[in-house]
Amino acid sequence: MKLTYSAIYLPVILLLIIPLVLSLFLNNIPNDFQPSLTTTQHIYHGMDITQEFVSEDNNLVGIGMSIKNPYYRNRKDLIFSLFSAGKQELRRVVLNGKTIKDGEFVEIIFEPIKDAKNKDFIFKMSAPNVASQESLEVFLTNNSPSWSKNFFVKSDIQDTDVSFVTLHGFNNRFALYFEIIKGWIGRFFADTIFFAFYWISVLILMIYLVVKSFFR
Amino acid sequence: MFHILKEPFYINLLLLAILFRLLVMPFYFHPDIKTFNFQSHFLKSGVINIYTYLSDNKEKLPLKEDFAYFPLTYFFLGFYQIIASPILGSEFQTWLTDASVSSVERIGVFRYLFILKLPYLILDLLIAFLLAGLFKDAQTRKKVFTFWLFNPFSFVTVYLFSNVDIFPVFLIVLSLYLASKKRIFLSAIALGLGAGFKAFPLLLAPFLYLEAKTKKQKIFTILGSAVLFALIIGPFITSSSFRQSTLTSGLTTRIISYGVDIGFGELLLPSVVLLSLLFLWRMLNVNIELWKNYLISFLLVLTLIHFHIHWLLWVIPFMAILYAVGNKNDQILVLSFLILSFAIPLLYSDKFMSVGLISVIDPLYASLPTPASAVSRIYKPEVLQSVLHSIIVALGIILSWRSLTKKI
Repeated sequence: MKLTYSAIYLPVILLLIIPLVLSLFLNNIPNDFQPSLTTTQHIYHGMDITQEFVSEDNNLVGIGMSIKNPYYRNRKDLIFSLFSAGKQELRRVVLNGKTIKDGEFVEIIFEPIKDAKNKDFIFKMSAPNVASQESLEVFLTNNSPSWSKNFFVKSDIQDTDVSFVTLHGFNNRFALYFEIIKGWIGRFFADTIFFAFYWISVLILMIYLVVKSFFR
Repeated sequence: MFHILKEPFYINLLLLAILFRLLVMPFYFHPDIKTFNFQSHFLKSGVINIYTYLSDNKEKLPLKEDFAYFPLTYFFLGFYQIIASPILGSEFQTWLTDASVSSVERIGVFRYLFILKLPYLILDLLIAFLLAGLFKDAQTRKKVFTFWLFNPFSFVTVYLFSNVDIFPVFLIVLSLYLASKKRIFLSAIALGLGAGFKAFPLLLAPFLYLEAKTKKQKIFTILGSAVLFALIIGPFITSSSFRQSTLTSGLTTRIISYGVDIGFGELLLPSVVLLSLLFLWRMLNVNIELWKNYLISFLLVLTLIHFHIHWLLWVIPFMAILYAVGNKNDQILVLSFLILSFAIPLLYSDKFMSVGLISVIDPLYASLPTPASAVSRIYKPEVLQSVLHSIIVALGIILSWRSLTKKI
């Protein structure tokens, strides 16, 4: 019978505690879903890539993208540089394939840029000491979102874009949790008929069980 | 079977179990439920051979996976969608065909998950009654009923991972119930129908065959299980897409894919050796109750392969029986086995084994690292998996032995 009591907490754990605990592990918020992946672009000596984009929010703390690195073949540095629209280097991060699994979604994190909303940025990735056979590859997309602008390989403009998201920091973890819950309830409530049916069923059951146990 | 509902204990427990399930059903999502429901929605357009259809139209379909289940799964889910379409609403099909990751944010996703899981709820509750129906002793009956309805393991498998295993598992428990009432032919039909959803209930057919007493009963057992299964798959067997997607995939090949190499391409297959041993031993010893054969067969198969989390559901009804008839030590062993078995898939590097499951609450959760990637910062998660798997093999052996000492 002990199982019955512990099971009372199961919905509480599944619906409140797990979302709360997991939200404690959130370090940043992506601006959008990552666009679907198509082909890849190698980055090695003489083969640099440049991607222009608009930051949709303030507090820009990173860029997330999927990287191909079969059998951890890359062991040499790849340089990620973030520039302002005026080509001034703002941030620089060095990546190394030693820690990048093949196909992994990699978060390239840098010091926050507070006032980033609606501003144009450019990121450039280069690997001056890497040969073609040991290169990292970034995944590209054909479904470019509106905030992703031109994409260049060396200096040639491409039809595709890097499949990436911008990452943004937040100030208050609990405010984020309540935002999540608010968004969840909002989307649930948007399906009004189902929302009403669902809660009526649940409440009838709850009331019945409470009344039963009260008059037992 | 339902006469137990005359007692308020069972009604209250049942309603509480329904309440818990209703609370969770709409809010957990595994992509499999969308994939096989997408595939099954073609029944509405008159597609009968889904295997060939998917293979012929792969290029233009948004979801490109094969239909990995047997025909009854397709027909059942497709038919259910037809019946439920007025409540699923007009946007349901758009959601099914939306292969983008943002589909979890669509308005209506909670309604879809709730309605698609309703048949699971019904079968899940029926299993509780079937298990209770196996016992005459009132206390043990209450124990098994409570364990089934309130154990977190079947709850998580059915409502969080939401694969189709609940259909064959229900039919296996029904088969056990019917066999306990000496309805061997109907019991065999239940197994045959179960195999029509997923093939694994066929593993149990030889034990049911041994349960049959007369020659006539034995023939009917074969007719009810193997022949019924052959009739279900018969119309599709000439389709190479069907054979590739079902007969030569998943568990079928997993059981026979590893073993002791004896040279010239031959392997000694541990699962097959042990299942044969169990069968032969049962043949020589008529006193082994059927549920024990079912339990040990599944323990043998599951503990010796790399399993999917939803496969654990196969064994839980029999664990519930062992939990109910066992003493404190048996109960601890059952819970240890289930806890460790559920911990292994958590270490697979698949977001939808953990953090991705609540992406319908907010897609942000899917961006979190998996437990596997957290463990990998310290050491290889495969090593931890291997240790856990080795322990569950030991637990499986002990549980098999303990089950042999128990009686319903």
